Amino acid sequence: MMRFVVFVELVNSHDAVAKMLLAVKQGNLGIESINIHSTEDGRNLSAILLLHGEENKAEWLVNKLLNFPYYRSAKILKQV
Amino acid sequence: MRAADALVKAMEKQGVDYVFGIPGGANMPFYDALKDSEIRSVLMRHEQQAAHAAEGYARVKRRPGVCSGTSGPGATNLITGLVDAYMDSTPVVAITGQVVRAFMGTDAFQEADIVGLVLPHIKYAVTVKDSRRVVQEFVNAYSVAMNLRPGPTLIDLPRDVQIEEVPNQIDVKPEPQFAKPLPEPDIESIKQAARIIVESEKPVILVGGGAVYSMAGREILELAEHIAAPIVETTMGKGAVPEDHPLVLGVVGMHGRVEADLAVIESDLVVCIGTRLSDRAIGPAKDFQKGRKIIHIDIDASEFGKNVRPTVSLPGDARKVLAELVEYTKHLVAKRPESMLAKKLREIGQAYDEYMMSMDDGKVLHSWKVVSLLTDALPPDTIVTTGVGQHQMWAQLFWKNRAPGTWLSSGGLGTMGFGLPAAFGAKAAAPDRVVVNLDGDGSFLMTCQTLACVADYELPVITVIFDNRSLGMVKQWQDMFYNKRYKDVEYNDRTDLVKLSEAFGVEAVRVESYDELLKVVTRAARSNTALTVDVPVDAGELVFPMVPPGKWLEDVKLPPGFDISQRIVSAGKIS
Ligand SMILES: Cc1ncc(C[n+]2csc(CCOP(=O)(O)OP(=O)(O)O)c2C)c(N)n1
Repeated sequence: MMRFVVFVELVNSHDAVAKMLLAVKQGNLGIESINIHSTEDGRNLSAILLLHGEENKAEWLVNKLLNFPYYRSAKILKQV
Repeated sequence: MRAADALVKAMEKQGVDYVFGIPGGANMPFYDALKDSEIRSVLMRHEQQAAHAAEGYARVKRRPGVCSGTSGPGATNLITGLVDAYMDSTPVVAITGQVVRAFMGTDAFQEADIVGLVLPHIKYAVTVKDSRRVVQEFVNAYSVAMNLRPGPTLIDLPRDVQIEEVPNQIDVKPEPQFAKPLPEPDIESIKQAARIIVESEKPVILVGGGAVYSMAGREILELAEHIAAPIVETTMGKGAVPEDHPLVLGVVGMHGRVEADLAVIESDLVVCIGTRLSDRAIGPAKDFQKGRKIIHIDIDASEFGKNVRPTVSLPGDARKVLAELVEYTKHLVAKRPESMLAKKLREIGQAYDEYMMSMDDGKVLHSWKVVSLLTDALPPDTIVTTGVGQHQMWAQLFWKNRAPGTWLSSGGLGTMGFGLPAAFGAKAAAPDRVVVNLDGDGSFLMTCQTLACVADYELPVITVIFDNRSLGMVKQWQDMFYNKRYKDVEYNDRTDLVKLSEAFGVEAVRVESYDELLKVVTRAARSNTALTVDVPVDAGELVFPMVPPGKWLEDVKLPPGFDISQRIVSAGKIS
């Protein structure tokens, strides 16, 4: 079990937020905190997710999100 | 012009020539716009079938299939097909009507949040509330359905948005997020992979659906022939390489060919190409990984390590990556002589075929014999579709696909009812080719209304029903894992499938012999006419080989009485 901090830039839509959380669910990742703010005059959002789960799942999550056009960038900031 | 007219113009520009769907209140402006278009709209009898038809079309035409439904139930009926398309990475664009903007969120008549409903199983879905964005969103959805790993998308259009006036929009290009460039092959990782290949003694190549989409067959064969490696396939990988090639051993996994399962058991390296390495294909990941190296090639980086941790991962388009890998491998090692292992495995496969044929006592018709006679009798570019169940497994064991895109089956979701509408969509995409749907009676009954479209639109498909009057695969599991406590798996004999087909306007016949079957099917294929053939097959058949769920390939159960222990090189535990 590991803890991760993941940073995601996404378009400002309910669907993008919902799909991100559904991916967190699919990865069986536990949620410790999620902070989401709007950026660029509200056109985009940036999210910081503090999650825990299996070792390879954070990498899976960022790669998975990048398959979908809602997400402009996704990266792991920290793993412990 | 109305946004709906602008949308249809944009669809024409993209080359859309078919829309499979059903109109209703909320997508009527869209249908009204289609009235003035060259695009053929096919009136399906159920939206699920529209989505499957779009899948069949897409997999043959190699471009997105388009389907449509109205708001609420029309849209929700599409869901099974869209999830199916997501699981099998099939490009489909769904266009749904939505209630007018002012009514959204009020539980209005036929209001359903279709975008919310499909979100976990779709590449992109959006409700377009700004009429000036309709064309752009369609172009985006169409592009992203094909971009990198293909998949379904959906645009949801409130009725009032469709009728708003918008300026004529020409030459709209997808926004950058919707048309990402293919990643370039990573040469350092490719060199490492080539070294691993050279060091391996018993390499095997495993091909999945990604190898079919990227048309990587030539490169796969080049690699296989150079290193003398047998090729095995997942259910979705069938057809990526010609199955009559001596190195191709067929489908691996739960209901795989015995020689393919043995090849993986024996291997010290598996080169996995465009596969998500599902449990159906490889069994438990920990067993698959034990004692063998894994090279994984995939367009979707999230597949690396999802189920199996690769020794080397090679992101990118399978064909491009393989072209480089072949070059580097050839540079490092001379062509290997023919693999004795592959030869031996092929002999085991032949022994299995012979054994199965020897089980034919002439009293009842057997599914495997039906499949193997048909695959020999029909043209090599025949497109075959299947339902889900035992007949599908017999088809994957005995049908020989010679070209990519000739095998259409619901691999990931296992959707009964996929076969007939997918065959219909395939025929729309390739009207000059023979399209045969190998179906179970249970699967057929789920989507048989598509026969009405087969008749209406003169897109003749041949349906062969493996009629065992039961949900055979479930019955097989009850037989093997539930002490033969059969429950809700047998049909009564009252549904007359011949009359049913005729009621829809498609000629049908019940055959009593293999000769009769071959005669009617080849005649229908030659004359390009629609036909439904009801084939009463042995209701007690069990499909073997079978690897029990959760077990490693070594635990494969072979047909009772088929003994291969003498022939096996060293695979100890085969029962
Ligand atoms: C829509 C759907 N419902 C239920 C199942 C579960 N299921 C898997 S195989 C099967 C039986 C299929 O029967 P049939 O189409 O007659 O094929 P057979 O196994 O008899 O060849 C069932 C019910 C499924 N795969 N899909």
